[in-house]
Amino acid sequence: MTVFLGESGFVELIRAGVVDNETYSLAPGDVSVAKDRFSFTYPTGMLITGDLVQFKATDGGLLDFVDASGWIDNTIHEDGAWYVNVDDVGGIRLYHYFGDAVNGEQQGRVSLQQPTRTIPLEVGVDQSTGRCLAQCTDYEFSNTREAADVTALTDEFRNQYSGIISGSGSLNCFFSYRQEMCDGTNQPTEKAAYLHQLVLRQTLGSKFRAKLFVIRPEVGAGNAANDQVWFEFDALITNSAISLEPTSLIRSRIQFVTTGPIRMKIATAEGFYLLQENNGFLLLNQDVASRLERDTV
Amino acid sequence: MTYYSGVDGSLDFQGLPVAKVRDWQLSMNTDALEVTTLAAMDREFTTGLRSASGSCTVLYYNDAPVPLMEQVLQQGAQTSSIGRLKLKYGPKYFEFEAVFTGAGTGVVVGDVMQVAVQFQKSGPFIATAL
Repeated sequence: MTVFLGESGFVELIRAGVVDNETYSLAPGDVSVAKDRFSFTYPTGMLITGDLVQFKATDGGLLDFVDASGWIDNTIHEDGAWYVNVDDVGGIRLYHYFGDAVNGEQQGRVSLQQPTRTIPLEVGVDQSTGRCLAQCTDYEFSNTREAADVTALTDEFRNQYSGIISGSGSLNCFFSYRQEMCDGTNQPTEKAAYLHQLVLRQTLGSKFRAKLFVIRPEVGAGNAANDQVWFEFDALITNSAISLEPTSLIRSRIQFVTTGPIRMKIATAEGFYLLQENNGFLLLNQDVASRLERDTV
Repeated sequence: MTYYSGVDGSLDFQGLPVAKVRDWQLSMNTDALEVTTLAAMDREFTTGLRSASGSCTVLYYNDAPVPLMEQVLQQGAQTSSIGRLKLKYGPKYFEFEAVFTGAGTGVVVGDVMQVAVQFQKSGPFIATAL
């Protein structure tokens, strides 16, 4: 019999893609070429550092405030997506990589140039790749199915009808806001500060996608088969709390409710059986005309 | 001495039992007609007309509430303006003819569909066993 410890758990967070229907405008004076920084009038908190943001010029012209080196093919297009670093006054800097955007330093920053016109901009956050949630200590996830009471007169026992399913839960982690690497990998982490910012984001909402791993690959001797078991769902943050006290580590507690379907997925490696003279396994694959019989003993 | 509960309840419409009834209610009234005269020190009353009205809720299961809805709409198999109801609890019952004044239904997320029907008694009780 195999038992699993909590150390096989793992939380992967995916920043959900959301599109804002508003059109913003970026004037030539809004771009500081010397500092590779720009801004436009948008609701505070709409963009969060580390978001993969899609910019599109809606007048059919080019997105020419970004230098050609900002695109993979070194050609300016009418739209593009970059990771953003948003400073405390709403200034935006563009980056090619998530880790660089979170750090907000010169390295990896996309060069800007003076635009030739006022650009009408459509802005949206693209769905990013999954990243492990940094320093997560524990999580709890609960599924609930509502039951509609269909007991009628003359019934002696209550009858119930299956209702809809909902989920909720909480994540606890140590507070972090700097770029770090996931344990055992060279992948950047998602930081707890993002979840605190997400709950405050009004314009685009607080949706995210999560994979809560019960068993993650390559952890523990009990998982030699490299199996994976996880819950996958979209969720909205409903509460984020932070607690500080002297002599204690700063902890973040995030509560969420799911939206849309919840899936529990199990990925197991295929079994490879060694064929032996006794007690060996053979896959029996035959059509109806075959005369092989199963051994029922 | 016996208590009655939902286990003992049922409802017949036009002599046939209605399936999946969640509840029924009946409210009975008698008008109080004042007969106080001059020099009287206290108001006096006598009984006037009797009336009764009520409602029931039926789960929408295999068209169980359809006859009641048709009675309200005066269409389908129910062509008479009056329908006969028998509200039963254990061996006891109220039996009367009624005008069906309303039927309300809706579909709600997370709940089963049901129909709430209102009726007004017409004429005297045909039979009662209280």
